[in-house]
Amino acid sequence: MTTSSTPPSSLPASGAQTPAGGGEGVPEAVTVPDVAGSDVIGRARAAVAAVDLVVNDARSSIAGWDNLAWVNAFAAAAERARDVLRTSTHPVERRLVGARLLRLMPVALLPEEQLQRHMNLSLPDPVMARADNDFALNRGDVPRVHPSWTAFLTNPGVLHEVLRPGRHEWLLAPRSFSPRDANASAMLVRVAGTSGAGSSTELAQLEIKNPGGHTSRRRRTSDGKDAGPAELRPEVLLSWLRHGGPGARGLDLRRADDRCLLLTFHETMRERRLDVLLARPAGDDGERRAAVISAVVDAAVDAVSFAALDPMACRFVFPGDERHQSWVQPAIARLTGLGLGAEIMPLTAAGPTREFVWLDAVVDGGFVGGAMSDVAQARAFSRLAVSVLAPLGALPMSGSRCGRGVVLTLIDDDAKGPRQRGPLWVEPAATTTVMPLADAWARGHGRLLPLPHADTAHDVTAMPAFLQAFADAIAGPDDDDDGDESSDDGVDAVMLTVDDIVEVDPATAATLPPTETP
Amino acid sequence: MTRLSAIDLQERLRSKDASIICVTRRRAPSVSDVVRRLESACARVGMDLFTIDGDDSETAALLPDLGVVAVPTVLVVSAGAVLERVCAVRDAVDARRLVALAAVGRSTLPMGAGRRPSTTQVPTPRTTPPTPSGPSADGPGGATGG
Repeated sequence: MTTSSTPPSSLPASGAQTPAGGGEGVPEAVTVPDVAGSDVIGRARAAVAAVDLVVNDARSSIAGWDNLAWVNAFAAAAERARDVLRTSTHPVERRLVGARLLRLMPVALLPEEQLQRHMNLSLPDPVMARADNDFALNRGDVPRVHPSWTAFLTNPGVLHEVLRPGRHEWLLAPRSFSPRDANASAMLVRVAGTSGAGSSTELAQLEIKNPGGHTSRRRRTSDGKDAGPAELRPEVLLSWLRHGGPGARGLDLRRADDRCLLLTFHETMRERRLDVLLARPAGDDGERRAAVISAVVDAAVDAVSFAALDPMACRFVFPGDERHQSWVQPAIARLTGLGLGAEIMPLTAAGPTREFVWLDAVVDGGFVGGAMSDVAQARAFSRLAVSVLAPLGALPMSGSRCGRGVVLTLIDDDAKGPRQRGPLWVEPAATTTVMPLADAWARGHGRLLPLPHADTAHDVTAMPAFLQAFADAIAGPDDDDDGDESSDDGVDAVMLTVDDIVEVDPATAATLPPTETP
Repeated sequence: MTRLSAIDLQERLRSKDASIICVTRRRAPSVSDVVRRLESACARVGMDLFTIDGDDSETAALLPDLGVVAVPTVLVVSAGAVLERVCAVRDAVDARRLVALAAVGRSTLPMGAGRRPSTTQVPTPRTTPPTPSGPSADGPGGATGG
């Protein structure tokens, strides 16, 4: 499952899609969502209109090659935005203004690594409409999942079964097992057989995938000497499989950021009709089941990456060589004079460049605000994954040294029983958001993974019960016989204690009532 | 403010205490503003601000692993993982947000083995005007840990 970012159809195009420097000269209509009765959107409409005057004028009159003119137009719009932002109180207003400024970013001045990626700063309209009540959750805001999608996880031996030969793709093992074949802190192995089955001395005989892509069944020291047969206790492999990473945590629905994230995920699922698929029985086709779960993972990644933007991804990158200084110097002076943003100095650049970041000076941070670093996006995805993907068998492991991605291992089920796919590297802020971990290592990403010492471990057998309780807590009481209108909104304060959830007996979890199909 | 050598940096990264580290460089614009704001925010809560020199070759060798591509860069790190990485600190509020993130990391990371007393709450809708939400300071949230 290797995907690239493509925006959902409902999201308005940003500067990268409709290059400001293209010179088409066609003013675009205001794309502030038309949400009747929304105070925040209503205020934003006035703010955006002020900026749009400059945007539309610039797009109709400035030639695509004239970078200085585009920077001046950006500065003029930003000045208007600054006046507007002084009175803006809601992050969504600032987000909409920031999205308009993106349209004035000349493509020629965008960072090269971002040219292949769509830049979005837009929440889906139905989510935007919830800004007025601080994204409070209502009944039905969590996708309903038919128990047949998760029932196999209640089997206490589900993870042991995926360790059987042929039931997994690749598993993570510690670097110390065969240092020569490791990628910094971990390595990929596959179980070829077992010895001493059923006894406490059981060993898994492994096939090691070395960085060149070849496999071997012998361990090697760091200087390449043979260190014996590749055998390891299965518990070590299991500890990596269950590893959630240091500080792994789920959505905190007391925070508007996480409620907005959950709503955006649900809306993305709804746009792709995945909520309907999950609400129906999973069926016996293992491949179809795997495809649906992969699509849900993609929806979760896109929910983060389409609604948030890394300030570094939309920075100005000016050429630093002499022949461009006639327009670069005044352009940087104009941006610096704005007082919005700051000049930064690249550590490793192919040539001399001058760079200017501005987004986080205009819009607020966090998921509601929209300005999120690549690390913050990965952490947001991780929280979403812990709460809604792990119960479907997509186990996240966060806490890599670089922080920009999450390792995801998928546990599926087919006619032969549980199986494992992955591990995958999920990097919401990247051009390619989901890729096999081995490919990510080859690109230099995700090489330093946390070791599974004393961190959180996924309790796989309790996950179906967790998902049910999570959905029920948001949905609120089912019957409205008491006439209490608040139950319709599902907003009674319900404390969902994780400790309670993981104590659920798997046998009890397996007998949970089936979820209603909407 | 404490300047870290490469060895100090590695020790600091291994530490379970969250830290704020600012990557600086001579003649880099806007470094002094960022350092001043962070130093002030750290001083309010009694934290020490650490800086590293991006021009130092030994230190610079460690920066790609940390995802540092520009100066200034502010890292919030804990237990070997980067919790946040930003290139700009727009004002004192932004600086305090980063310090708060480090403070959260100090009190809750690592969670340790076994169960942890965290909760997920479905909120009552607010009738008061919404306030800007904190960007990325993870609060105690639900988890599937066991």
